[in-house]
Amino acid sequence: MGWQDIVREESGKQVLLNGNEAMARGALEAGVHFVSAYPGSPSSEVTDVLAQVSENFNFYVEWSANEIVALEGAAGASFAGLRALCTMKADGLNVAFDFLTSMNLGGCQGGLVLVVADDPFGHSSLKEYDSRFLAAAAWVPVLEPSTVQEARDMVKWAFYLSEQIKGPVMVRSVTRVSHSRGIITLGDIEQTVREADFRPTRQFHTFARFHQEVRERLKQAEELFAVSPFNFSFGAEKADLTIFTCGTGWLYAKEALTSLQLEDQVKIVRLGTSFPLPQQFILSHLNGVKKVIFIEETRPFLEEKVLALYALHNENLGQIKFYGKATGHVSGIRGPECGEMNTDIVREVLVRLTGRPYHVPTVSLTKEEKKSLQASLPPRDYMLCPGCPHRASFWVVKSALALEGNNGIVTGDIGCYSMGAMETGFNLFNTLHCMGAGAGIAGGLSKLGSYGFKQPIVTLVGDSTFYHAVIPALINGRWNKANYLCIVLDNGVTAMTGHQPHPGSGKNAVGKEAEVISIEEIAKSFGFMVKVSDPFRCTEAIQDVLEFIRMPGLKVLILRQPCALVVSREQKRRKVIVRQELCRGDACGCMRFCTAVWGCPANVWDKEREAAAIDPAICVGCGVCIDLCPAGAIFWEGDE
Amino acid sequence: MKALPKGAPQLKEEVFESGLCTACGGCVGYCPYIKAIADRVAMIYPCNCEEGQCYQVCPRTLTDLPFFRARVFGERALEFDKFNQDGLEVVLGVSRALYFARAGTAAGNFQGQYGGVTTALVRYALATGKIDGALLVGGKPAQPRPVLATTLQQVEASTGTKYAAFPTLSMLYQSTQNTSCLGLVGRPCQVTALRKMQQVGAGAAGQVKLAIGLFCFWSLGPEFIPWLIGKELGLIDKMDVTVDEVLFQKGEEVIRQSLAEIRSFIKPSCQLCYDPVAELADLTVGSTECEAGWNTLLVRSRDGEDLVKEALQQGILEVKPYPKERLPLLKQAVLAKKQRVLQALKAEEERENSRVGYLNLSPAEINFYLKL
Amino acid sequence: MQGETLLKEPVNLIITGVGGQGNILVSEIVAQAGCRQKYNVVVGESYGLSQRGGAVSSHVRLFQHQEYGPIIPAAEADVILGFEPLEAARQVVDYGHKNSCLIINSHPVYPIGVLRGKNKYPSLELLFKKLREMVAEVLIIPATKLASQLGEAMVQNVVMVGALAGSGCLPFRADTFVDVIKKVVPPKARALNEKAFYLGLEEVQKIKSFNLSK
Ligand SMILES: Cc1cc2nc3c(=O)[nH]c(=O)nc-3n(C[C@H](O)[C@H](O)[C@H](O)COP(=O)(O)OP(=O)(O)OC[C@H]3O[C@@H](n4cnc5c(N)ncnc54)[C@H](O)[C@@H]3O)c2cc1C
Ligand code: SF4
Ligand code: SF4
Ligand code: SF4
Ligand code: SF4
Ligand code: SF4
Repeated sequence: MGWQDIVREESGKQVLLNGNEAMARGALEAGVHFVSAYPGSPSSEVTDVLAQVSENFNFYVEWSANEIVALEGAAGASFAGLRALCTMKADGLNVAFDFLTSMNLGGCQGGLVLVVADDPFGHSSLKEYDSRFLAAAAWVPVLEPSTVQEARDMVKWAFYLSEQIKGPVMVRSVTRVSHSRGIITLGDIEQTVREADFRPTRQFHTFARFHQEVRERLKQAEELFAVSPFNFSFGAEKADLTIFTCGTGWLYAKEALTSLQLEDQVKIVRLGTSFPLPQQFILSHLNGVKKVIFIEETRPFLEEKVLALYALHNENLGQIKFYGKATGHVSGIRGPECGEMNTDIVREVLVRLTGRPYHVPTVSLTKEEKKSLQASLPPRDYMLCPGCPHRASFWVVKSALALEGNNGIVTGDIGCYSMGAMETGFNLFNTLHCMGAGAGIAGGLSKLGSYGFKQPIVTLVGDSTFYHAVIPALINGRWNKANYLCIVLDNGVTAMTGHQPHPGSGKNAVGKEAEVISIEEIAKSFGFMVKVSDPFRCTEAIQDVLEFIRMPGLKVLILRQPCALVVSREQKRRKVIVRQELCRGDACGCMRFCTAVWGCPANVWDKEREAAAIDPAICVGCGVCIDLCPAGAIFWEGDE
Repeated sequence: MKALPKGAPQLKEEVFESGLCTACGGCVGYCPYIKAIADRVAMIYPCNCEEGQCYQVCPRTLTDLPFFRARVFGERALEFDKFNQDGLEVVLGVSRALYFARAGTAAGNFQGQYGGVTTALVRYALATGKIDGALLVGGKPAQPRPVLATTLQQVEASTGTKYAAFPTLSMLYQSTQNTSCLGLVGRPCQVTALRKMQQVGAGAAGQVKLAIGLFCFWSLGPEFIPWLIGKELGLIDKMDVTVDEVLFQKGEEVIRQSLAEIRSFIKPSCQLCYDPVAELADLTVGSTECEAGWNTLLVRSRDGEDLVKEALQQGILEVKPYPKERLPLLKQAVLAKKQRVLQALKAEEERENSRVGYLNLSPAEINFYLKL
Repeated sequence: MQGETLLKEPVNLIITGVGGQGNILVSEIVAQAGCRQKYNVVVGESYGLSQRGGAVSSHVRLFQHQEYGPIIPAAEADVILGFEPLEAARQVVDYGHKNSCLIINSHPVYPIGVLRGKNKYPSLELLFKKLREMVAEVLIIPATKLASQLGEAMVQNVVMVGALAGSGCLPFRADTFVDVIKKVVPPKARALNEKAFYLGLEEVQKIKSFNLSK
């Protein structure tokens, strides 16, 4: 796909890349030496791609166990004078935040660039999150690309900026940049041959007295931003009405403006450097303006900063009315401070403020037509993949808890198995928060015996999550005599984000063999009772879960089966069939269990024959439905 | 009896959620919705079938006792149902004879709970090909397991009472291709469930030709075994219950505890059980409560009678008359239980005349107990 | 260099289906084809969790004069390429207009609510009838069936690319598509994908000539 063009094509060529690939290219062009990351949508492909090409360019890439370790590693490289990139999704910044706020005080040496991808609307996240607020809290400069081309440009320039100010720089992407494709022009790849150089006299420390130095650094950044081509204006030279925008908002604003033919009445001010704001640049564009609209994703960051600036200078600037998210004027269907931005939202505000009507270039469908069509369309919820081992694990836990009685509580966390909170996961989870949270919550609940809490507690954690965030919770549980069952759903990879390897995979980021850090050995070394079971052997696994639930103390049960997507890619699948004459179908004794309850997408219903069938195109041959079918109607091909 | 237009949602509400499940196993394992692990039975996923087999076979859903008496005992049941006679029948159910009994010299080499009558009869039926498999509860009292015994050794290895309620009927849904005639040893509720299963043709219930019921005034719920293990009694070989004591036997050692210790584990469903004597069985076996090494044996059906006669001839069984002075005690115990239950059920729902709770009884039967 | 002048700027295409149906590959193919014919393109995709059996859609926009953002405004999709009837219809509600052209794989993939018996999947006949009353052109392609004839139901997505090429909705030549397909699929899958493409192309031509003869 596109990423091959990153190395295949020459400088000056136009190629189609997505935002993450473009940022990878930006890092390459800056001659990056060290890349570390923890995967998370929509950020993962930056490091995925760099891992693919690292051998061609001889730089170091790793998937790290979590975001803070990743950032610490990258900082190490920077301290030794090398250029380092660290990527993560917005939620990951929380994990890395402690270190970020510390290291920013002591500064760094080689360019240190942090790419953080936010996910407005939560396409592949549980929460929408605006990482700019965190960056500002840590006093880290932020660049915000609007397009795929800028994603490349800004990552590249961020290395330069970081080396100028001797501090880390964050590039804030969002889903619609990271996962957009666009045409970009490739630039030269810098050959930055550098030796690692960490002199014994050099010190990078965190002390409160360095706060002044950070302020100096920000000032220096602001000076560079004041003349940066990343900040520009469009449309009318002088306008009563001005749109301040950044990130994805820029092209939506532009499309809205041109579609209303307001280019000569309204001005757009596009900020590419969101923090610290280039104050003079902004003040010059506030001058003489009566109304300001803010267009940004997701929360009113730019808006708050500009309003604060205005408060300081209002006597010179005169009356300005502001329209944004904080004021509630700019709002999508989910409300003003959430969801994605788009052209329609901007256009609606412009129409309201200018009175200029919008003539749709197309003939719209009538409201009634749309309503009646909409009414006939059932919603589509997420579904675990065909043959997904999590489905079997959820079934096992669901069954075990039903058999145990006493209203067992299940705490979950983040990964494909977050679907344990949905229909496809039998609505199993009682709690769902961030990585590792389930184990901590379970520990807390288990200490409530003296308040009358007697329910069994099970926490489900992923394998990658185990290394990332669960270990401290387990240690804490052991230390404080917690009493719950921790089930590790081990499918061998970080599946959700694109099957990156983790410390248990036996592979590193570039596909080379690596030490397997065994989950069971870790758990055993803490003194837990540990067992590995096969979720595909449901009956045995249910027994194991029940046995473990009843045992006192904290126990670790590993349900291990590789991710179905990996299996379907790598192995020849064994074919599974239904002997339809044996199928009980809709009758008592089954009630279409395989399609209606078990819900593997490959278990399908043959309407004509009124019987179940297997969709051979997607069945991965896990064989679980063979065991679960009460009528013994499902077989391995050849066994019937 | 016509099919009841009720299914899983009603079973869930009327039986599971009301705490009435006896863990008989009659509904377990037929479909994917109701499962058992060891002695626990649960509906693991809601089934919304409105007309279901589980509801039809459950001994705690509407059960038409006169109908089933007639099915099992024919003419005799009709006479019995008038409830205008005295004698042992009315309280102890349809029967042909009542003895003290024990395994005879030719019975085989095993140690039964009391007189070993149950094992002797099952073993004999298997040895003579009357049955080719038997549904038993094997293992030690703290590790009960379901056994479909097809060899004499397996029968001999499954002696002794396991007081945990165990859902053995679920075995009737597993592959029984290698058998054609089965025996069942079960609690009274299981015998009732068996008859209901036979009525709707559930699983291999039709194959069961010999149903030996056990006297049963209560069984213990799933918290019992963990408690035993917690008391370090997980490895006991035998458990017995007297009027006020529980005896745990481990090798030669006997540990005595007050009955009160285990009362809390009695299944709630047993409080509403109308049938402590397995009325619908071919034969019912219990303790004598007075003579160690002997059982009480109630012969009910013609088939049961034939088997006992043959066993006596072959020296498999030894019997002596039931002591006259003890009969009132036995009857009183059963009577009291039935009265208690009918009153409790009646208090719970005053619905139809001929129906008390889950039981469909004749007005005569209800009057008999409630007016006494 | 610029491609032939677009009849409309921008041309907006939505590719929609269910996670795992190969949506992203198709948006890549269409975008690359656009590039080859010297148009400017932008594609907006959302993937991640939505890969897991949820609804997925990619927005592809072709333009020559002004740069556009990756999301198509409401009621401005000119073409909707749907790998699944329900998802195609869902896009029509938000993005369709009277002159939209819909190209739909007739093979339904049932949502979990339908499988669980909570919701009802609409009758395809009625759904297609309703869509025909609403928009200018509706092309129903038995793409999964055609792909199965090739022994690999998964290539329904490339059958649909063939149908898109044959529909004439985009100013791209068939050989441009074929070149791109050859480039983006792994070498051993090339022959299969090329066949799938032509199956879709021929199918749509059949439908079109049948419609004309009516
Ligand atoms: C839960 C329970 C409560 C009982 N309560 C009473 C009572 O109150 N008064 C009374 O007189 N008798 C009671 N009995 C019966 C008594 O304990 C003996 O089982 C019976 O007298 C048979 O004795 P035996 O010497 O023939 O036993 P054995 O020859 O040892 O045979 C015992 C048979 O019972 C079967 N069995 C053991 N446990 C169970 C079980 N949980 N469910 C089904 N089958 C089982 C074994 O498989 C074996 O076939 C009860 C039995 C049970 C299981
Ligand atoms: S074997 Fe059954 S459960 Fe497994 S993938 Fe195939 S259809 Fe799904
Ligand atoms: S689980 Fe078995 S019996 Fe039930 S519908 Fe599926 S194939 Fe048929
Ligand atoms: S026996 Fe029938 S009604 Fe009862 S739970 Fe099973 S499928 Fe449902
Ligand atoms: S009593 Fe028997 S049939 Fe009724 S619910 Fe319990 S196990 Fe099932
Ligand atoms: S007392 Fe009744 S309900 Fe309880 S186990 Fe015995 S026969 Fe069953």
